[in-house]
Amino acid sequence: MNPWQTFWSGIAPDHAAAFILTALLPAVWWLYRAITPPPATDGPPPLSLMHRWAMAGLVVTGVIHVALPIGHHDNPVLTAGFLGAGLAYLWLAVRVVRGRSWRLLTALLVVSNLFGYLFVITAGGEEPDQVGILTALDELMVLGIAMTGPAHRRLARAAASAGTIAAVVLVGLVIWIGSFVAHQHSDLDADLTTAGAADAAVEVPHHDDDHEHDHAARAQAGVIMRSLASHHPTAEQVRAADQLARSTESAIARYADINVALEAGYKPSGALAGTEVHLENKAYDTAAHILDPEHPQALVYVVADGKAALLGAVFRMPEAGRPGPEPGAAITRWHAHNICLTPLPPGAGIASPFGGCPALSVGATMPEMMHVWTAGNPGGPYAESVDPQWARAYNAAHGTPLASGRLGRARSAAR
Amino acid sequence: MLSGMTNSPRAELARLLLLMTAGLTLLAMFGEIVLMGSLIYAAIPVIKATLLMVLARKVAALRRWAMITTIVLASVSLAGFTISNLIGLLPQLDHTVTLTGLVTEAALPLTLIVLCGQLLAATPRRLKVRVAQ
Repeated sequence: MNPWQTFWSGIAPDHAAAFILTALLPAVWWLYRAITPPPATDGPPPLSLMHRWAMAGLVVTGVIHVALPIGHHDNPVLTAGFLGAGLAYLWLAVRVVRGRSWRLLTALLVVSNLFGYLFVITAGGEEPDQVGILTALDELMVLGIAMTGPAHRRLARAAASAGTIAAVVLVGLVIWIGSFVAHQHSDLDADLTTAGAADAAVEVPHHDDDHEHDHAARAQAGVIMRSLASHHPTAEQVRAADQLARSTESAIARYADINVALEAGYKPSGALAGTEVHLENKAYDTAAHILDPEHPQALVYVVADGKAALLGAVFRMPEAGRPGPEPGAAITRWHAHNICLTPLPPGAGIASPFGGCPALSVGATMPEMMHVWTAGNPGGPYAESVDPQWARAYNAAHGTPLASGRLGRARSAAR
Repeated sequence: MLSGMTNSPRAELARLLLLMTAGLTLLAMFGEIVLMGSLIYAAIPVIKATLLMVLARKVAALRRWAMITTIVLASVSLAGFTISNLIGLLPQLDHTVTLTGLVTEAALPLTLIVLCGQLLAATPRRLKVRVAQ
């Protein structure tokens, strides 16, 4: 994917029209200034900088909301809500220009609108995307300006400051959680139905034609995904995905004992215990081993109570930005992680929904990867993760002994 | 007027943007704490957020040192954004430019630099007057 494709994949198709119209606002404003005569010198005094920013923020949010129904008209109630909120924001912008009171009404509208948005994304009604998150950020700024009124009380001013910071953190956290909830739900969107697939009695996953929201991790907060060309895998694609899962299962069966994997050159790369311990073999990070079941770039184990059990494999592309092959189309989807690397102390995080990294860190996006679970993950072979409770139970039943400190020594040796 | 308050809309706007930056810093901290599983990773972000809150108050009070510190901090943020983009040129890595990232990692620090630069130019130095003994 080129940078433009990645950038655009963060914008939901039904929000694209609203984004484009809003992006045109500066040009419209410039044109308006160019064709209208300059204001009379004896007219009303110009707006202060804070009022100009408040007006701009309200107009941006208003135009986005009014334009949302262009691509987002599947629900009459939602459409009415978008139009109502948008017109209310624009009306408040007019009040700012005319010097009327606007702060209290703006604060009430922003808070209720943000609550509505957070409710919709956490209830699974919509996946948070870059346009939605940017609108929330704009609303937070407008809320901050509304609360930065001509306060004369020290306590009120301190409360407004704390409220601004808390609002940014809380809204961001809920959007983050909402994006991961959507990511987990996506496992159900395109799951492989294995029953009978090998015998050509392939059951194509059911999809509701009226609900084609493509999960593409549009919040781009730690996970980057490409948009789907089609939500409906063909019988041939389902068969190909099933074949890949079966090939991977038989190929990595030899690593059921974690000690064999360690001797074969796989080394732990992160956590040494838990339900998703990754062992990597960097020798397979080459173009010759792309989606090669015999040589997966990483293996995933559950490690607990002195035992380890193989859960599956991870295929990873040798270069970032290079899309992985998708034999099963929507079923075999790849994803990448946009992470933040920090030197103090050395570590890594993931980018926040507002696009930021922790202090003193730099951002980077890793090569695309895809999990293939081979141990009977209830979420299916192509789920994004495993249920920790199931993984522990599986380890208790099928795990092989692992000497204490063995993984730690292997990681130290790899370094 | 109380200490920490000013009638300058530019200073008030810089104050608000600094408070929002503090919120963004604290939010980004959670991604690292969860991934690394350690509260040690809260130290630097909490220190930076605290510094930003102090700067917000002092920029609003038209303190020159606070404006200069804000310009330095915002420049470091911009440098981080630039380095991230350069890292994306490496074959093994990439850098994802997002809509919100452009606003918070580029436009926000740039706006703070411009605002504090204008404030700095408009704020006279305080002359130290020595009283003869």
